[in-house]
Amino acid sequence: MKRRFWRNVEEKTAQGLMLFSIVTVLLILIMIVSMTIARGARVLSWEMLTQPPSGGFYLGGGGGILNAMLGSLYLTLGGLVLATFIALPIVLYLHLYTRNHRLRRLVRLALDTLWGIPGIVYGAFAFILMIAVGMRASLLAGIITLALVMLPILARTFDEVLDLVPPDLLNAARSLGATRLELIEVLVRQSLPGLVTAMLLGMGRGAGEAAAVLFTAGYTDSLPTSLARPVASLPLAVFFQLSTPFPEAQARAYAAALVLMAVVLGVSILARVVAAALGRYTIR
Amino acid sequence: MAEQSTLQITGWNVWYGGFHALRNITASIPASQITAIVGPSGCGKSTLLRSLNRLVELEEGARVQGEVLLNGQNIYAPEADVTEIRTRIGLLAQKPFPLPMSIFDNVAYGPRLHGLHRGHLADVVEQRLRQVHLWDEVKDRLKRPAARLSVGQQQRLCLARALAVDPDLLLADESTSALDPHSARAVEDLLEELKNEYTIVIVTHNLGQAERLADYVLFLWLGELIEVGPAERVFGQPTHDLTRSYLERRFG
Repeated sequence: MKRRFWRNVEEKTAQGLMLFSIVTVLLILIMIVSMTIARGARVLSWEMLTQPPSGGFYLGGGGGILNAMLGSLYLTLGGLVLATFIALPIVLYLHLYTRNHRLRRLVRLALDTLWGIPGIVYGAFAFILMIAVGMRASLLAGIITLALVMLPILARTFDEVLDLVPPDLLNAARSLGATRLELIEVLVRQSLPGLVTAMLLGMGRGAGEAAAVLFTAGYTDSLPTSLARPVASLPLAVFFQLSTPFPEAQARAYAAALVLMAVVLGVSILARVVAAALGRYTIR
Repeated sequence: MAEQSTLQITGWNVWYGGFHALRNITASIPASQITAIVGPSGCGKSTLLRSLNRLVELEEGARVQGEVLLNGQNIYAPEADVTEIRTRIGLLAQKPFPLPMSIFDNVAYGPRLHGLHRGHLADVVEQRLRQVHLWDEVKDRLKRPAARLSVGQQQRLCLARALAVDPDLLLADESTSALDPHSARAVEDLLEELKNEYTIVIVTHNLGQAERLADYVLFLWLGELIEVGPAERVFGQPTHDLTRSYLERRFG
């Protein structure tokens, strides 16, 4: 009888702790979003979304953050595409082309380590390389740096996703005479929803990265026009406006943060819809 | 077509790391018959089956030694083309694994890889689906994902898919054990129908099934081939004590 009582207490306590964690996460999200809305929504205007900054913008003057919105879009998508093209061959090689388990473990360790390196270190590293080759802060340099930031996230998550593909599915394709290159189609089709989730994780990190693009992509008030010119980005737009002493500019920082969140949310939903449509062939 | 497809295993050994999984197996698999590999769990049945289409070498730490001759050609010869060899050997796995694509594309997958039947692929798909008695059930939804089929239908689809590349040899690895009794019987009947055209090797832990299907039997015990011969003889008058005790324990 006593035993049953204590087991019941254990059960309830464990459940309570789990619910507490869930509520904490939801509360933090609600607080961040509502704080951003409360401080930024009132200055969010059509003008802000459709125009680059005009004179005196950082003193509270006219114009908008279109430069940073477009800059972030190009930086993030460019970085994502580049990182995917590097990450995918890495994991495909590990899964289809080698049985060398020591190599797999080594690559995984390297990727886990890279994952933990802060964005500012990537920024500084890329900046030193840029100086060495005589490159200036530009969209291209920003894309390459963000690709480096996203690479370990993509590769490591791709790796985990491909681990879930049943070996017998690949053996079925092998038995029909598929070469290793042809197995890639089966592997990618089967794990597409997971691969898209991995890309969203990478994109989220890239879109929010301020430190990595500070030295490498630079900042400018004009709209992005060339890979060789500096571009603005939303995280830095938030940072610069928040560092001014003017309440009007600070409010815009929150509005810019709101835009960043909305864009990331929008892309996530879109990607999930696409993945669900493509994932209906997935074998469970 | 496969009238003379013979399989000869000579001095065959497999190791997983330090574990000697198959010891010096020598056996002849007769053409156009069903050969059943039987034995207790962990005796190496599946390893032997996977040796026949070179899937065994993909296992971690696997090492092999010996010869497997398919129609006189050593499939483990250094110059042998593993992709071409696997194409000649169809595989039906324990759990059906349709490819992540439509029903039609599953059957068309093999022929497309090899550039076979260009221009009349639809006829080939229909013919193979009829051969496994699936056509009437799926003819109106060929473009639907294969994953939507029932498990029993999936297994027959996998068989149609394997037949579409005209293999010489069919391997079935406990391929009815994940199915309900009705679907399992359907697959058994199919194998029975197909044995005139194909040499078939099955692995089964279901002795009743082995008795129903097999013309020829290999009995394995802890990686060794204990007894081999026509099914009637091995099941009726086993010569080895291990075979006898294995059969008795199962039956009574």
